[in-house]
Amino acid sequence: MFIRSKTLGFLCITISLIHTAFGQLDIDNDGLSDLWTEVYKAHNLSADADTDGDGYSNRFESEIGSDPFDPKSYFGLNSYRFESNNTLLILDFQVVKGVRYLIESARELGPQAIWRPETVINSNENGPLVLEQFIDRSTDSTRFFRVRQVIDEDRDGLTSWEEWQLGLDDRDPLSNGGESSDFHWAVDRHLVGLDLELRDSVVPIVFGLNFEVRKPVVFKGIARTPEEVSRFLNQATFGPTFDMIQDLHNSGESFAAWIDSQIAMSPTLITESMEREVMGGAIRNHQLFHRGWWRATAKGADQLRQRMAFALSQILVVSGQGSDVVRGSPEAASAYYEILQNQAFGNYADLLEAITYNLGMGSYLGHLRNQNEDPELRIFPDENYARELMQLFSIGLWELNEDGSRRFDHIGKAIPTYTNFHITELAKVMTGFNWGGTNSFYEYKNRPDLPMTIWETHHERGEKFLVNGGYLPANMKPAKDVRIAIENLVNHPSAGPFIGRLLIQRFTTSNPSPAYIRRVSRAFSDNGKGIRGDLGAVIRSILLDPEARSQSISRGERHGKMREPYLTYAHLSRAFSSKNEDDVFYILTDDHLDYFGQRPLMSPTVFNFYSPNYQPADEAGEVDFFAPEFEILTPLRSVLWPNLLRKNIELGFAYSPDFTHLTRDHDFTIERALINHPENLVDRLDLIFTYGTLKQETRQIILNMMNDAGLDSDEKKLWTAIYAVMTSPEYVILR
Amino acid sequence: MKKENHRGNSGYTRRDFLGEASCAALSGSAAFSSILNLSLLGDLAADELPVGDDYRALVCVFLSGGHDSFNMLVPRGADKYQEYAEIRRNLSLSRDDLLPLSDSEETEQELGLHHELHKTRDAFDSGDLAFVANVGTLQQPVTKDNYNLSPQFLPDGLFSHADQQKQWHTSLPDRSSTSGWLGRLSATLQDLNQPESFASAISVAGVNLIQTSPGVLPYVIGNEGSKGLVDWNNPNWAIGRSVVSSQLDLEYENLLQQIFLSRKKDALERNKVFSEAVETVDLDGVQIGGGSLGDQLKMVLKTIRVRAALGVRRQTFFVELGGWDLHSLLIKPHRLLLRQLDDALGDFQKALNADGLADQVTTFTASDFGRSLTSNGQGSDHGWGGHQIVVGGAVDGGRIYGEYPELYEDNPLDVGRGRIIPTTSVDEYFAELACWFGVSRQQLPIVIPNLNRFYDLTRVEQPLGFMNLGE
Repeated sequence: MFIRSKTLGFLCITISLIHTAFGQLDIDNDGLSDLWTEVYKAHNLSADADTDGDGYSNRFESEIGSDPFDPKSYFGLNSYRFESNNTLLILDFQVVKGVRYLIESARELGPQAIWRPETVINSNENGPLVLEQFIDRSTDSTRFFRVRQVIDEDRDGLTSWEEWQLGLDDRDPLSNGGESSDFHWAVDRHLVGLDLELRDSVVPIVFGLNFEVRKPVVFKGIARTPEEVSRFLNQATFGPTFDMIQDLHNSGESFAAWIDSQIAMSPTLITESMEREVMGGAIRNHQLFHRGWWRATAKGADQLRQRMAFALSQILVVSGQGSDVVRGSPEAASAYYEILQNQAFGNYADLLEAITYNLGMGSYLGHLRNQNEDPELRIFPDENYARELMQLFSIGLWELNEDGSRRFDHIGKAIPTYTNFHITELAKVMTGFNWGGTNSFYEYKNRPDLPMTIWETHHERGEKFLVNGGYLPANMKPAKDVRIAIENLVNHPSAGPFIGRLLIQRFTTSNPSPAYIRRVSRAFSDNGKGIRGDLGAVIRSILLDPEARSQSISRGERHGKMREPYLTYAHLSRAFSSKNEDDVFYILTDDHLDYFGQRPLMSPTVFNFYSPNYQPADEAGEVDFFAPEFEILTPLRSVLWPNLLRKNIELGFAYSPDFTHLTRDHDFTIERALINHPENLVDRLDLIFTYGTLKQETRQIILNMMNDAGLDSDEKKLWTAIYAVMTSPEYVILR
Repeated sequence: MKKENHRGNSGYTRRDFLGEASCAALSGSAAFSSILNLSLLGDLAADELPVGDDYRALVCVFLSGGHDSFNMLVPRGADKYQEYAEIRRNLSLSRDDLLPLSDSEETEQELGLHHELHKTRDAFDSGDLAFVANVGTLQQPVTKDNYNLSPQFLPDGLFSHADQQKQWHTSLPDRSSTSGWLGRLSATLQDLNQPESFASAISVAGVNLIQTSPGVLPYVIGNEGSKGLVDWNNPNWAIGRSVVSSQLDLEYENLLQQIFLSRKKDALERNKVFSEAVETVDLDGVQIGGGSLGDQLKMVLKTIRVRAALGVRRQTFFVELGGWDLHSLLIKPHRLLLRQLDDALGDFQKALNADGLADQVTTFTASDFGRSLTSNGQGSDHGWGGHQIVVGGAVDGGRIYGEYPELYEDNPLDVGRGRIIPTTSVDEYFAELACWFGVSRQQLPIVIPNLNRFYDLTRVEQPLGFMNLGE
């Protein structure tokens, strides 16, 4: 589809017209926009027919918004030519009124190409449009062009043409001024009574036009820039590689489909590498778990699952600081972490049930060997797990509305979700647990890999009163007590907004709008099939929400989140994939808490490394502006972290604190080849790490450094460029 | 001189003040030293700042997790001990092991100390150390009836770590607050410090709320002090330094990006000042035991020694010892923690005495809450009131302040399982320390807004009387 023009000599120009579609208002599901049908009075047309005989199907005309009865109404190239010593491109192409066109250029063709926008045109008329495009040839001798019609820039489910017809803005999914997406607004306004989900699950149909034949060719690709693909992958993984971005970009797979395929992937488990290592004679210590974690993180193809497990480990906190079992036994640590990996997209009630029986959790929050009340000995059930299960793992302290705001009683006071009475009651449920593989409550068996067993002999037999009017009659089977108590919590109206907000903060933004929280809460309440607590539906909703996807929202002054320091470190390990083909990731993690304030399953307290409600005092006067990760970015760490990062960029990863025992080297082959083309190198780094958002000034600082004919080696320039990008605010703040 | 409040900001004011418009030099050490040179500012401000004897520091030792302090300070009288043993059962200490305390004034209270607390007992006996009994978070004084019938009078999130820690930090148990009482204290007295000094609040234990208020953000260091970027002054990394310096001059519209950049800039600027000052201190002869808590206090001592260079006359410190949340096993881990606490506090006070700083530094403990007196098997659960330690030359020590409560089950202060309603509020406890630090009566409500619910501000006597104000 790319045509090289031989007549232009050294200046190779290729033009391709690609237009893509994301969604449209098609309630009757006939493949044609209902709005388009109304505007052009195109009722009773078949989607696959070409009524006006212009070579474009009605389906295609509907998506671009052209007139199905007018053969002169279409999107396509009429002619192009170069003038003024090849510095001026004159382009004549057919446009549709009210939509946006993007002229893009790249320095090369093929899968490595990075297409950058040159000009954006808003068309005011139907018919031919002539454009004069100046070509800056100062930096390179070769340049390729393409023109694209923007179909659904904000990915809100309405085409650009539809939004123009409705007076909305295709750059903003919330341009109707309300809290619901433009698509829902349109549905509500024009077709009241139809309850439809956003159509982002529909596989997008994307066309490419070869200008020579001027016929639409089905092109498996989607109308999004590689930068947007990179931004999505930066949110959804431990950091993309260049190939990963290009693969998703070129495959045309929708983000929704990508998420589905990630959910379908089998988990890369910690024990896989642990077992292999133990067979090879490795010592069973905590490092064994951390190496397994790093292998899964750095190498696992199931990136979204790994990210979700790490996010869950920061909500359902278990820590080696506070549990000797978790710290001392890698089997116990991995047994816990694998619950999070396996159930990352499962049902929240099943997840809470599984962690309740987990030995690490029992030892960390005290319900291991927790027994029923003994009035004689003045012994009462331990309340710790019961409290945290409610306060931190499910419903939080305050009753919440669907949008995460607090509910208030008639005198305007926030309503607590539970009282101390409920804690003592739930504590009774959490009694009778002992080590797995045992034959009684008192027996000890060193099986940290097994779930705990629950013994009726030491389980509180009496009735129990739960929050929200829940009730457990006396003498139920212990396992049933536990299951019903957990379901009672997951069914609590606060569970969705509470857990939803915490997960949003881990992936996309520290300050989600109430509407964003509400949409995620609804996904928690009902996955579309009437099932509550489906974490797969929750993560889809978080990543595909207009607030996560819209580029205009992402550019907002308060949008985004600080990348967790550990995410930046993981990204480095992935971006320049190691030459070390050993399947174990040898890395010394002992100091990571000091350097990053993070280390998996090593939180200082059950409240995680940082509070979801941490408010940086740096900006006085900003009320309710949250930035959890800043809580661990102390002045000390804001230099320790780049110091360690730099060492790892320059030396690779090491298994000794003094970096004498290097275990993983970076593969800089491609980057090294670009050192003499600094623009291209910065483009590449900008795509991988900052999804095209590197400030012009930052770019210039790096280019100046690279172009400076100093005595410094090429290698040092490369290291410094990577360091400059990875420590820049553009990178560290993900948005 | 007018004080500029822009801690946590980019520091442009300082640069403007010194007439250093965008400093271009990237060669040599000029790039930062010109922005960073606080000693120059120090000279300018020197005539209004006689840094010298009038120095005071408050050191908060936070025992995070909820200290079971009813096993630190224990009744020794036969009857009272019996009540204690009755309710604590397998959590009780042996009466014979308790270290007797000679409390001259309160003869009815025959109390003993946990047997690990030798240095603490010695300091108590020599009059440098006091206990404040049954302190806790309170919205207002409450009774057991209030507890059962009027939950609106109770602190928010009672018995929850996060909430109770927060309230010990803010002294505001009835509302959510983004400022802590030490932060408000520093802000109130900031005229006593050099205007640009970042060192009025130093934390060796991470970011915290207690030292934070608008305009005050604790300078967080580690046990080893502060650090800068490696190779900053190494000519081999000139390109790196040049790039980083240029990046630090950029501006960002996104708030998070701007805060990120500012923190890094602040870190580099402050590190330079702090490290250069602390480098001069030699603590080789000083031993402070008690593991990580001792290491933190050693760093505090170092910082105190360079108070003049840092331009401070009023300074707060925050250190932390965790691990007190002993739900499943109390007796042994508690003993080990108390040993650390005893060594660290005892050795720290000894070192201050040797420096002649005893009267100028007051160290006090705080903790999420006390714990339930009843056992849940081998450990205890979250409670409410608990006992705290205050130590320093200015402490009117050798006494127990506040009221030591009854411990028998279901007594009028027991709201269930031996969770004891505090009889002294954290507000009174903190106000006493704030008075010594130098806030006036008029300023007290700024620092401790709810104080008048417990203490008549027109009273001549101090709230609790354990600090010797030396007037």
